[in-house]
Amino acid sequence: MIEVTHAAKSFGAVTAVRDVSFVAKDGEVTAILGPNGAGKTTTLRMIATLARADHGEVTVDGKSAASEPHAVRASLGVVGHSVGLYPRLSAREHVEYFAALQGLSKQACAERCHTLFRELDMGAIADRRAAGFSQGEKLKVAIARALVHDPKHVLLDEPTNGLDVMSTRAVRDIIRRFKDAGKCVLLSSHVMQEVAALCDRIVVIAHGVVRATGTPDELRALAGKSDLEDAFVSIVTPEPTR
Amino acid sequence: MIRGAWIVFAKEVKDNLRDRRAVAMALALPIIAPLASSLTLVFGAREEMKAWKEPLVVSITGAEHAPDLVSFIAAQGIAKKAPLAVPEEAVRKGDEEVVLVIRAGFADAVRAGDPAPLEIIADKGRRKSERALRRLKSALDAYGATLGSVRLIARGVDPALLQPLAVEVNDLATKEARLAFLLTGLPMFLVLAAFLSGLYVAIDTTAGERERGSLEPLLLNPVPRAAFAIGKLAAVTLFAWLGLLCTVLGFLIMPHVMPDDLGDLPLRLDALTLARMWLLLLPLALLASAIQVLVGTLAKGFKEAQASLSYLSLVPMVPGMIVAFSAPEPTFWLMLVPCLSEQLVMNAWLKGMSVPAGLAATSLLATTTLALVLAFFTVRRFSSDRFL
Repeated sequence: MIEVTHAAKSFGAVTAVRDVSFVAKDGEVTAILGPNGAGKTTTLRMIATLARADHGEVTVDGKSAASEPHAVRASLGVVGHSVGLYPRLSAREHVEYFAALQGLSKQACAERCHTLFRELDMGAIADRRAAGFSQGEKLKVAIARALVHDPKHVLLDEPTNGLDVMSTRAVRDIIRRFKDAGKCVLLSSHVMQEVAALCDRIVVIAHGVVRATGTPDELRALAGKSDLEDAFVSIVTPEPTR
Repeated sequence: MIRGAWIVFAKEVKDNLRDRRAVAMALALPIIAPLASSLTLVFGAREEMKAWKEPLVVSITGAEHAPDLVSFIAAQGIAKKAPLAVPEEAVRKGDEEVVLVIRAGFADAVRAGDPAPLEIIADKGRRKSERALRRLKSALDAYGATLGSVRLIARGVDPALLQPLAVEVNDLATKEARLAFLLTGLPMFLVLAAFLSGLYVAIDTTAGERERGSLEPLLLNPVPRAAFAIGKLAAVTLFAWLGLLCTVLGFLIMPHVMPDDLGDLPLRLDALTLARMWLLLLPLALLASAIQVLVGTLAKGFKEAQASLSYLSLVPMVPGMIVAFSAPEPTFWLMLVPCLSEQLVMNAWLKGMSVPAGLAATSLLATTTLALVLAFFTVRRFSSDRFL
């Protein structure tokens, strides 16, 4: 379970996150939905211990991201905004590198690779070097290496950004499987359809503030709109005066 | 911590060994340095030898005033050529190497026993002209000496009285030039190898990692940040050490594959000396790697790192210049200056001079200390919150 309580983060004069609170439960897919620049990535980075909250608290399974970053990291699998791969390493070598850093034994790593490659349908690219990978293939490698230690929580920053239809579907399937496995999945997105199709709970943020929280149906009811996209737009606007 | 550093190290070495550019960079100097050295030596020596064997043809203005002199220098291998209208211009342009001008009063002055005026027009700035000048001058000196002896004998004086010294000049100009080139060039190439061999790996593992976007996912792994810094630094240092080793091996092979013999030079280029030089340079390579990794982590991207580090790689050339121009003896204080101390010690070793063990150790220790200080800053930089 991930809990964010009145978190705030500024970079110099720019306030990226003003006041964000929400809970992401195990066995559920929670989405942070918001327009560009709303503070989605910063919120995820605070949870991932990559940025420290100026105010408020971020905990993962009760452990504070600020005071116990190592413990938090160990229970997180993070797939970031940019899928940085090493062009001269194969998909398997990427996973093996992170497995070693996670402290997995050779045998545990081999078993985990086998499982991950099957689940992510990566058999064909497992031993190819990353240099020529498509966007979807790169994302799969990034997911595989982020999940090599089988973390309980999975953070995905705009996971289907730049993917074609087939890859998008594949990624959604993967996310559903995480949910079925009882994991706590938190993803950021600005794509309505994706959020509607995937998520149990939606946290709408704009200008660094949570505007609404609820299931897709609750949000539709809240805004009085039948279409989620309309609901989203009406929740996000009118903009508050800064 | 050690385990984490080892994993990072192993990955970076494997990754960069697959990179043609990284390997090329590590092998560039080992191949270029000995090759460039031997080519410079061989061609430099050949040109010099050829120049002295060839007949020198000099335009002489006023040859009719001194037929004896002209035939004397002709016997020394300096042939006569027709006079020129404006000899200065021809020399300045480089059409003529030297021009000899014999004034009308020459014959009269010789007859009267006065110093007879002669003028040589040369351009000492040009190597060929300078060489021709030396040849002509020595021929004229010989003529003058002969003339003087004849006069002394005519007056009943033994010419030997005016030669209190019997100096025999064994011309070592070429030999010395080759030796000087090797004495300063070889240490400088080796220092350069220490700085360049790991350069590409340093950039790739730091600024490159950041630019690819792989730094963030990497640092999320539950390994102390210091382990990443140490692993990367170790990988860069390994490349630097191997590049250095290859350069040393290149210099070891060089004398055996060169067409000209270096055997007569008072130069120690044996396996033991080169091995000692390699060991001496290990801390310097570590220092170079630490600087490169530190600068690489400060840079935002590949190009920025490359730009700053290219300039940085020129810094070790400065002590090389000092060695070339003033060649100070190794002293305690000079041993505290990285780059300079190594070059001075290598210079002495190449000459076959022994360097007190204390001085060599001081150099090793001073460079190692500075390298470790820089490595410490690199580790701290990795651990800082603002690193990402």
